[in-house]
Amino acid sequence: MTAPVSGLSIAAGAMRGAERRMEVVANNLANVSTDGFKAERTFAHLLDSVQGTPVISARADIRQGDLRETGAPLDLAFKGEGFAVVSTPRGERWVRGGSLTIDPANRLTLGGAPLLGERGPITLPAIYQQLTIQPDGTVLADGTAMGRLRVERAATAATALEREPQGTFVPSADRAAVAPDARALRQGSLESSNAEPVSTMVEMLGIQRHHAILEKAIRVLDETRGTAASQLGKPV
Amino acid sequence: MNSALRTAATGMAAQQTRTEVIANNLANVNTTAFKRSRASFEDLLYQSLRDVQVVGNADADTTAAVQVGRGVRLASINRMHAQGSLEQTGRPLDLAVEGEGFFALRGPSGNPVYTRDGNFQVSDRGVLVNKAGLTLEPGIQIPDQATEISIGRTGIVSVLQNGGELVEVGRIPLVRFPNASGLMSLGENLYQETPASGLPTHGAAEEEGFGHIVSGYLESSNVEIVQEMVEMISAQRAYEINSKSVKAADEMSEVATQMIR
Repeated sequence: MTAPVSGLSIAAGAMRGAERRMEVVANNLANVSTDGFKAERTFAHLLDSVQGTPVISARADIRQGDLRETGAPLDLAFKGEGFAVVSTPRGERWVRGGSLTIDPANRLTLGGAPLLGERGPITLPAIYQQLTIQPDGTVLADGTAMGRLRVERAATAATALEREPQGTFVPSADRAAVAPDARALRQGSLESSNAEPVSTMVEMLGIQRHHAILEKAIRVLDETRGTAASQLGKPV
Repeated sequence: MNSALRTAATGMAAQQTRTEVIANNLANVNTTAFKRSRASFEDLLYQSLRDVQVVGNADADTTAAVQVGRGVRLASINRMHAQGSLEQTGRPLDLAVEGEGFFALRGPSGNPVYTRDGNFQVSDRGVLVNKAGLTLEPGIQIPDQATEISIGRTGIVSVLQNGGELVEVGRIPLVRFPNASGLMSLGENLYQETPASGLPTHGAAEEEGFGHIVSGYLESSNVEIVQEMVEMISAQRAYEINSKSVKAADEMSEVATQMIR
């Protein structure tokens, strides 16, 4: 037999859960203008029906953000599925496009980490007039192919991705390359954050109300106990 | 709870910076050869509250790690080196570069500095200088007896001598960078090379990779007012939204502290 869990501790646990969700929502709102940002979605689930308190989980919502045209040749956005691969000191990481830069060794970099093509980092010639990135990820300098970017995704859409700062994700164990004809890279565009301000604000209000209701529940439970303690002992 | 407050504060600070960048763009809407800047942001550290767990008896069922992000920070402010439109001035020493390329000047401490602002003059010693008196590299000497100066598309400077003959006195070189957005702005429309910009490539107008020089024109600012206004509205709204999360987080902690009567 499992010891019964008091209503008070369930309500307190749920209040902590609401606070956790609030932290996630605050982070989404703080990143409404971070290009390539993927909002975190929270959901509650019961790990154990006896324990009663739901556990809050969060996962990246990798839905497409709006693309906006910038006209800058080094801005790169992804339409549809897929991440570019960058080589960081921590290992290979996934990143959803952004403003590319060229490092002193003439390599294409994103957030300071070299972008990886199918044959390693993409090195540009010292002098070129025009840099073109085709929808399948082929990088051309004055019409000469310099390599094709790697574009990868998790084999199953349900795979939760671990996040790191600077908009990077740790590649999932079931990583797979996106077929060249299924890619839609856009040069001269950036993908806006997919954290949608209005719905996130509504979510925030909901969390706030939920939190207040739980506080009320604790108060009622406490009053019930108070009544039991003060009234039951009285002589009739 | 306090971390939601701090996260929202990073969001407010980011939007503040964005507004500052937009304000500077708008202030320079009439600055010759000004290039607009754009602030870009990145998300901060993610804190793992719980690692990947196996749920139930089936080993295949795992829940994702619970990660909470801690806000946003400024990633970079990039200058957008898009071409500005050319504005006719009719003055032969007003030069605009159509396409890629910077004019190289000798900076105040002798180091090379670069500019797209081609508002040149002849100094008292007969060399071409910019409006602040910095010498165009390499020094182009205009003879005293020259009556008229003309500058061609390729940067060749010719003068009309008093005898009526056209004499070539030099060629204005241009410089380009692999990543012009990486140049450091010094103010006064001047830029300096940095490791991010890469090493300068010296050449001349109409050579491979370079634009051409247009005499009698100046390049105007590439700031578009409408675009900046839209950005400003969006920054203001985002600031407001983050202030709402500060308020909501604060109200929640107030509710929690009021539990004890």
